[in-house]
Amino acid sequence: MDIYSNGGPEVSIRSLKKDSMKFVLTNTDLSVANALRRVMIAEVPTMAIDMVEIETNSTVLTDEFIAHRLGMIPLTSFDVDRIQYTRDCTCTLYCPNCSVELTLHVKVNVDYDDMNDPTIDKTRQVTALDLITSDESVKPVSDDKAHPILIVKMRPGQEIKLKCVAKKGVAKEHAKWSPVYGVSFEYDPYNRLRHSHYWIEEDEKLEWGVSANAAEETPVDPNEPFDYNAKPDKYYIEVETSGCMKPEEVALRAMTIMQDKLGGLQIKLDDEFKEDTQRWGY
Amino acid sequence: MSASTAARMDLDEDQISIDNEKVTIVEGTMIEPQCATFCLKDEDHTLGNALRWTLMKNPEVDFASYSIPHPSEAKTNVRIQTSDNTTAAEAMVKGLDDLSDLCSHVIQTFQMELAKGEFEYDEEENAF
Repeated sequence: MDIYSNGGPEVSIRSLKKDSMKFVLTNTDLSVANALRRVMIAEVPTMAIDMVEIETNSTVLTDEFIAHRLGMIPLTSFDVDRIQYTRDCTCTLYCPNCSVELTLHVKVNVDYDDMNDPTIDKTRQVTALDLITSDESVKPVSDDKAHPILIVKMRPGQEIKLKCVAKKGVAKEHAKWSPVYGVSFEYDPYNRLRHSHYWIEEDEKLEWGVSANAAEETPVDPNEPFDYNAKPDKYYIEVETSGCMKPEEVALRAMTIMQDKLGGLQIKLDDEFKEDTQRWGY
Repeated sequence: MSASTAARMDLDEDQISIDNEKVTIVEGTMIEPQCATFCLKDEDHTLGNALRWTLMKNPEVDFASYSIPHPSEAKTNVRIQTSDNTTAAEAMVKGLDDLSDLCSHVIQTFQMELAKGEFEYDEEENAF
């Protein structure tokens, strides 16, 4: 089959870090590489706070402001397969099978001895580390303990008490569920195929330097004729995750999700059109 | 309302969670079995473009394209015209099969590459 011309797609990993991965995908069509990119960004499920029940909030931020900030906190989601989508769950609102509860309760007491001393910083920073999870596998991503994600700053006398419900979801619904912070996707660094039209002031070469990926390709000879049949076949992809799961996991899951979509369609097609085709005598 | 839609509604009442509208043939597009426009619900460029490519790789397929008629509707139309040796539905099944095989191939090569470990690796403590 033609799809496997030259032995089919090849993957070559260039670097793998805790939250980023560079790899090169070769021998396949742009549409396949782009499908992988799109699934990684928008269709790999993760956990994120989706519902917030606020009991007390005397901070300077409004309830909805805090609820929004909580939603954006990345939660570790390597065990997300164990959790169901709430819409598929048999429960009425949410339950441990389809959600994880996180609670936050911070009260800053007034210390009358220090109250009038301006040299003491009385601001209490409420961060993602203050969230207490009901499930150890789903907790705020905290790589940098010295700089945790800030939720709100509080002064003495203020209190915040709330319950968050984290649910499984995909970024197609809301970007907070995206496992990646960015996916860089490049092909044809020398613009041999002329897919890019650079905005320039005077000199294209001067104003648009070649990327690091160009080291793997041969420069374009200015005298060579334009090959209008040429197709891209080498894709330089870098995935940077939010820390919710490993980058290689995101890529592998993305391909599996693609397969699931195709599998689902195949089943539906079989059911729907078997009779139709038989009627036509095939 | 056509009889088939009525039948599907009956199924819904029986609490069967199968999405019966996932794949449909756009009315009036299947003049003969060799040509059809399939309407895929809740699919977009992610699947549409890759599927179009695998369909076109099939030598029996004369024409394959996809379009999203309106951005507010989560629907993708895939048009297939084939030679007399096959049918549009068969070509569709083959296209889906091929793309699925391709995905398994990528997963395999990816896992092999990970197992080989011939890449720059960050020795920092694991996040998990």
